[in-house]
Amino acid sequence: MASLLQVDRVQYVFDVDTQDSQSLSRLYFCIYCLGLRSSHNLLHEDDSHFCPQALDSLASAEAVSRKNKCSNSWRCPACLHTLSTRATSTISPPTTDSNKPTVKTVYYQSCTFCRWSTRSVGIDDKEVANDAWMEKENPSLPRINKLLEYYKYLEHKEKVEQARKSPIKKELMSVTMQLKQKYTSSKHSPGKKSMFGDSLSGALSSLRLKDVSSLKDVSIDASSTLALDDVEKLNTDVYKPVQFTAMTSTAQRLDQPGNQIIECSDLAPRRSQMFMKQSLRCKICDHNIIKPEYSPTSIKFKIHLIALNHIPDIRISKPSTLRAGERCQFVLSITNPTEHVIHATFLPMEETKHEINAKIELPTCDIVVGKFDDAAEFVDQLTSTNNTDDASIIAFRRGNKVGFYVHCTPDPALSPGDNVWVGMRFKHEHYGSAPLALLLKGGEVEKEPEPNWLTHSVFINLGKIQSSLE
Amino acid sequence: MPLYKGLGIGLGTDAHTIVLDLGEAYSKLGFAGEDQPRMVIPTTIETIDCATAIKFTSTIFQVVQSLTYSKTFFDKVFYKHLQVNPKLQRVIICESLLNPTKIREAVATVLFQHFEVPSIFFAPHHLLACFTIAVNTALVLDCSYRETLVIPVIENTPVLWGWQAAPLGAASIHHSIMDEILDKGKIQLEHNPATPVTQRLSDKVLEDIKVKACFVSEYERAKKIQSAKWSKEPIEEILQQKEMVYPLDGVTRLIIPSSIRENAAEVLFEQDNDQVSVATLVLDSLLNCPIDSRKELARNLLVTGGTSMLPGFRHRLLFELKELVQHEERYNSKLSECEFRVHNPPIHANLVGWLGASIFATLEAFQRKSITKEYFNQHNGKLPDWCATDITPPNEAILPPFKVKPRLSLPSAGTKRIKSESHHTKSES
Repeated sequence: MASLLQVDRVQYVFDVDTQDSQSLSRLYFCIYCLGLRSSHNLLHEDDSHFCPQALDSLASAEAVSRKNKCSNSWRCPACLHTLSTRATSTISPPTTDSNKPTVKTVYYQSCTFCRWSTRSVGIDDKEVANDAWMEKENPSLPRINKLLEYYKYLEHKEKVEQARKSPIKKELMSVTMQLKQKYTSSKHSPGKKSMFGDSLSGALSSLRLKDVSSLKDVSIDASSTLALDDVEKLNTDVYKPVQFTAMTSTAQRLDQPGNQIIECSDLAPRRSQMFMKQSLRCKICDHNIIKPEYSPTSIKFKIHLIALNHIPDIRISKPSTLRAGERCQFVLSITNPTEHVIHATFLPMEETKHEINAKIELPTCDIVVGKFDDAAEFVDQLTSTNNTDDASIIAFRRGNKVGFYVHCTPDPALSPGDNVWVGMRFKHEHYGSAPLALLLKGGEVEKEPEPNWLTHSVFINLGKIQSSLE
Repeated sequence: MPLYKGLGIGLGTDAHTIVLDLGEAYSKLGFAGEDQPRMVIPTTIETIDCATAIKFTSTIFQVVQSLTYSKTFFDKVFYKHLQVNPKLQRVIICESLLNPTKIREAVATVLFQHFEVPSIFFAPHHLLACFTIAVNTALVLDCSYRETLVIPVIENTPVLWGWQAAPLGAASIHHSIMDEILDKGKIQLEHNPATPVTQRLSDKVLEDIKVKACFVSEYERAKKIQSAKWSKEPIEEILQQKEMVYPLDGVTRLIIPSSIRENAAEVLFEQDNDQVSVATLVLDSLLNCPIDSRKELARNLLVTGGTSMLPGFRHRLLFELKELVQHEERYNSKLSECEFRVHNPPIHANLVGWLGASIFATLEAFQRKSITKEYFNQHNGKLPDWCATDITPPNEAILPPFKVKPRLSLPSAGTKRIKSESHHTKSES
């Protein structure tokens, strides 16, 4: 889709200092400070974590402790697609209690995308729809926990020894001790235990370093080493013909970093990963630019200031063949997304860091772009044509979209296959923000909005230089 | 909900320190104190046309371009995969000691200025690897995507003058697979007759063939293969299949000779014109070490890096070491008394560095030694490094002058006895 519409051909500058530019469809527009923003220069905030399959929602702290994994939804270990639970009934053989065979409902998981299922790898069907599935634990988890404990102990021991040696720290410790005695005892009224004093002394003693004697000794054996005779030799199985489809790919192996499975027959369902709902905030004015609704079932936004809804979109409407040093004609289109008629003025590009390798001749007069109208597509096209347009500038006019001619001369030094970039600025009035900003704040809408004039720098990739033979 | 955020997860708690191991091919992402990374993702960013690889460790590096790329990459790391707000988390990055300063500074610039992380710590991979096996002295071999790097670690101090590196890694295996396919492989489209392969295959396909089919053959057999390469004599086949069929997509199949399976990894062990192989790197590194530490180092060999996970790699390495020491003049005289033993780390070889960083980041020494944003700004975007003499690392700046520690030692694992020894070995050599 993105490459079909070629949205990356026209780049809007969102950072004046660094001249960083991006396609308008990826940019946001801050209606408070009237500037284009990109996700690179906005403040990210995580709102909530959610699972799009099970529609669970979690606060971020809880999600971190659950390793961002959903407890109800599983995904395929082979293709990482979501697994769906399938129910089927089995007939169990007659038991001693009843002579009739009983029909039971059992569940298994299967992937609708790659047809992998828990049955295909020989995992037994479960009698409960959820929860009965388990994820494999890292087999060396106890050893790693031991390592963590050991290094913490070493550090603590070293710290205690250092504190004992250094005179400065001893003094500091005694000061804290003195303070503690002074303040905790003075607040102590006889016969009545002060809650404050107790909690303070508790906090202080936990801050104090423990004595070496009270430290529990942790010892650890270095991990085992193997000599040549102990190291696993090459299994003779490797000489058998290789089945490419029976072996896991790197992506499947790395999906479970703890136990990297080599054969497809060992794959087991994995808990699916949660996603994060983020809101973005303008660094300059601290207003929210994007704010999703918290509920995982809703795909709506509370605040949704994307640039495409506010800023005229410039596209290449009709390309032409480019040859080095030859003047050629293009049709660019400008689309007005706002509910006000705008006047766009095109200006030449000033100095820029961006590579520009063609000269562009822009229309010298204003271009009037009609307002966006929901009903426009149902109105007969003929009635909306405007005969006052100069046919040498305006190529077509359709509702809120205007096509206009530009001429471009690529540098003669370019060779076939080189991308041709042109730069320009354009100025247009902007109405929407003031009433919208007021509405968001809860104020009343003024009757006659005052337009602001905005200027954008735009880089356009017109295409590649054709070879002269074509 | 978001109002209360930041109260619970303060800087003091180490549970949410982000642990990153940015490899050339794959990046491991996770949190401190956990037993395995949350995610292992390819170190690439996707553009509309194709997945573009961004490299943190290659020497050819365009800083300007990579700044935009690394922003996109870290966006993916923090918001999509780890799902945290980087402003609240400390970061530890596991890196090679030979990582160019420009790259570290570029990464630090992006993390500090763009993502506003409170602190970063760059830790050497080879030292961190020792944390996973609970020893102070080990000879660490890292066989990664582009190169193999051996650095001895003596008493928790990486001994830099003992480093040995060679461009032997996954990339060279992929290269030799590709060469053999171009030479003998065929492509078949549905039922048409097979045609020779003319175009290079993508790295992804080569990697897939490698992980699914290739192995490191045993020493004796490998010697036969190597000699047959020169004399062009056929060798006896052990592989039970002459040709294998690799499905490229729904309709095309790649027919490749089975000999690829054992020949491809030979590039790591056959000595090139400079007589360098993975095994000689280990021995040359040992020769550079102080005499009194050599036996200990040889007993504590630690093999890390994704490429070393090929079946048979460790067995072949030990066998090569034994044979080289017995038969090659340059090693025989000096290393004949060494017994080589290889460690069994508690995690797969490609994650050893990450696990070490995860363990180290739970310690308080990590917080003390981290580079804070203020420190980074004070020094005009420069980082302390073993090769930079004009910047003092944050922890040493605070210490009184009589207490200068050896620069690269991390204090956490050392006891009193160990420290005095480390001074000893350093001054002796």
